[in-house]
Amino acid sequence: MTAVVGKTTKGRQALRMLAGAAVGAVATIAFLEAVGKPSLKSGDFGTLLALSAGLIYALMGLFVGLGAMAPRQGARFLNVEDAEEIHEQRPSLGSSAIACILIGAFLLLLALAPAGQDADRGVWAGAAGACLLGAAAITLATRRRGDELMRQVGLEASSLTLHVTLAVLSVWALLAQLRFVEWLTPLGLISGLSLLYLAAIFWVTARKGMMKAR
Amino acid sequence: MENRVKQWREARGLSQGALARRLGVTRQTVNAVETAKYDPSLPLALRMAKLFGVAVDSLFIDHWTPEEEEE
Repeated sequence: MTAVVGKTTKGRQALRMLAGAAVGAVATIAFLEAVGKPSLKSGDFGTLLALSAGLIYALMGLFVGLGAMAPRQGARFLNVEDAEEIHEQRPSLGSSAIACILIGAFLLLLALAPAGQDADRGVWAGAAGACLLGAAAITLATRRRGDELMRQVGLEASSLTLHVTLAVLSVWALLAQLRFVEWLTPLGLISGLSLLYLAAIFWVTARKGMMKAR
Repeated sequence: MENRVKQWREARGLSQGALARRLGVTRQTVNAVETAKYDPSLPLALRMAKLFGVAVDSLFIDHWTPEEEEE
């Protein structure tokens, strides 16, 4: 009986991951076809990284937001026990979703913004700045809303991100100083950091058994 | 850390959600503590013990014993 339940749970987990990956891949291709390709400069690693990071954050925020708005449906694709748990977590899920969407929008705007002396630079800067300020305001306003486990996850993920960043940037600095590679662009740096932090969050939550289907 | 939170919760007829609400934490926190993936803070451990009416050291099991100091 336990084995059957275990198999079902693992199957559900695998299905969720596959569905998430498929939706992510389709959305990325559709986005690149629609707006990304014309703005992409070939070989621009920073822009590619910003597009990927922006899409990941925006899609993640969108899914969590949809789940928070429709708890019964959300319980099927978010890792919760039931719809009631989403109801209990609605305020924090909602604010996290909005913050993720704003971070994603910030990165996407930076990636797609025209370089050079474009007359619309002020508009792009204003829009990206508004997204950044919004995400920062939500993060500050809700920092005490999470419980101690979430605070601990945040602390451990931040620490892990810092250590990995130091290691990566040290090697990169060494190679760049010796002219083996180009130094990072600001866009590449902020996008890389955003992705590293996200990966650290997933790593820490997985180690605490929070990724297991319940 | 090895603990008896699940046993005490079930003995009190509480679900994870009900216990989480009474402690002011999320269900995920209760679940992570019960599965020994997360050691709660001292205030939360004290609150759990108070809620179940037991001593903290009968809720959280620590196998450490102090070494005898040599004269």
